[in-house]
Amino acid sequence: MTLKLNPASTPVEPRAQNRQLTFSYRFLRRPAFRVGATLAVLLLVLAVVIPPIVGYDPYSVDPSVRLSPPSFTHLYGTDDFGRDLFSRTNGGFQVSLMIGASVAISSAILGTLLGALAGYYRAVDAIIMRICDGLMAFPGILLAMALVASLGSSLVNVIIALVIVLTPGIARLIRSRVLAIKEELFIEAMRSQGASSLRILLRHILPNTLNVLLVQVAYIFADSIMVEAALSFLGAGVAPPTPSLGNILYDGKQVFLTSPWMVIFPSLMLIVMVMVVNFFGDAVREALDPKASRRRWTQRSKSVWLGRFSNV
Amino acid sequence: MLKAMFSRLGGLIVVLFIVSIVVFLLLYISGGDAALALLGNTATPEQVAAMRSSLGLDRPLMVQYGDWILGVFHGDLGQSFYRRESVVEVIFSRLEPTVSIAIVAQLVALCIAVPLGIASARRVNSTLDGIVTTYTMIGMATPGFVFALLLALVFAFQLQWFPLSGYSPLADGVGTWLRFIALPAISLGVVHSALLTRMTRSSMLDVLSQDFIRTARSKGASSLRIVYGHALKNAAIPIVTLVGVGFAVLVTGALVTETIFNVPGLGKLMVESIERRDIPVIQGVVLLATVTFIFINFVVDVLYLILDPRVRQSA
Repeated sequence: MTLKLNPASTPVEPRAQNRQLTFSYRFLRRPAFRVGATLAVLLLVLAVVIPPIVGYDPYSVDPSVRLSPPSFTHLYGTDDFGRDLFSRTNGGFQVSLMIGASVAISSAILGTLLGALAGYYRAVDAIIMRICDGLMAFPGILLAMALVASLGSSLVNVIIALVIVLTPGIARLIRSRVLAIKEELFIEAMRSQGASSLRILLRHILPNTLNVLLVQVAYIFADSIMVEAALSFLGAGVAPPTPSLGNILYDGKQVFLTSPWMVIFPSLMLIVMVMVVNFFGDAVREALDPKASRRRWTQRSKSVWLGRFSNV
Repeated sequence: MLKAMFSRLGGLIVVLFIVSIVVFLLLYISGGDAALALLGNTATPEQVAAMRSSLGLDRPLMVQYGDWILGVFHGDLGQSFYRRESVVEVIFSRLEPTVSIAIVAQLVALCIAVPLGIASARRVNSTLDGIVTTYTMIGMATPGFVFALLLALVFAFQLQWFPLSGYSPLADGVGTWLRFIALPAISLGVVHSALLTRMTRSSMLDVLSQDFIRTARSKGASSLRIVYGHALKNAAIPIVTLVGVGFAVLVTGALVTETIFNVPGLGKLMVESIERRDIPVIQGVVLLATVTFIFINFVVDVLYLILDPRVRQSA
């Protein structure tokens, strides 16, 4: 309990108790979050709530209605096999979401593990970081393409390739945070109290890296959706008949001059989806550090840019 | 300065070594057997075994890597499984269209991004700034190939201003060359300009809030002089970085986009090679592209050292 120096003023809540609250408060008030959340709700209603009501199977083939334009029976029209494009696009949305989430979660876990090891234990630092440097020197899509070509194109292999491509960026980010936090006074205090290395790392250092991790994970989510689309668009991604936004566009590429709906609807879905994730990422970044958010954008190191392939 | 350059060069060699190992291993994780691929499925196991030993595939991995990397240093990236040509020949015959598209796209991106970024940084929170920010948000979420499909539909199919597919080499005339690569380059350039605009804007904002700008302003320097004479030079560094890194993005973007326009470049080669699992060609393209980007980034790093005394000191 601290002394009240000025009894007349209204009592101020303890800061520590308030910190978590202010982050979510700030996050929820960011315009980027509001726009993102609105779009996200619209997407979910469109792609998850409506499809069961309309009730089309994304896999059922009907050659009699090949490439028919949008109508009340087929909201987005049909594809070159006569499958309902609305349900295929929504299926693709779910596949993209699944890929984005799996890649984001796996590379976050793996990257944090490697980054923490490299930052905390000098012995393994050089080895891990040199491998990361090497992997980050590749143009991301090209490496992902080559990996999928070598492993064979399937959903799981796409995820594996993306994790290999995107993990080094996270590892490097976490390492630099760990290196910085390791030097802080409270860590020294913990050590002098006799806390074990593992305890310091797990209980005190890693929780402090969560904020930067969160931002990066959002961007990785967006990147993996885009890269999957590019890979599948080249025929090196998710193998048909599983719908993915990229392989619908791959089919659409052959017929888009006469049946533009084959590319318009999946493209819009892809663009809005990536925008939503980017908005959330921006909102987290701004909420974490309102003053420095602008600065940080310019000062992100080149390696971070190398990790981003916004425009495939 | 020389010391800083050498330390960067040292890091470069390690990175190149790791890159070469990853590229070398691509063939092994594919489980693809070069001997089987060269002989075809009708080969007997004895023939395959004979081919394997004549190719040296039965030796330990380390020895094979040594052999391969020695070849790479001599400009030999092996034989294509599918074509009876060397990988290097195949790649060089396909290089021009992709590089053309990437360079023109970079120019398009710069021409859009720098003026837009400066204009919106000068009038923060204005309507113009709002429009530019919206543009960057949409641009950053749009893959180049999606925008390319749209452009092809409107400008090549409906309006017929540009050819829908194909490529004409630069040697056959600049005009036709430009007509063929215009749409892929514009689509990539416009999309890439989103990121570049955002970068220019925030970099300009950063510089404009610094003390020396206030000094220049109180000295009575005109607004134009402040922006173009003082601020832009300092804001240029992150932009230069992104131009360097951008080539990696644009070349891979060109790979994807050129398949829409049937441009016979590296992208088409990659797609064909992926379909046929022609791993040596894939290895070659990946290795060539990566080494080029490492080199570009090294040049950018050195340019920094020359341009910015602060970087020189901290290094």
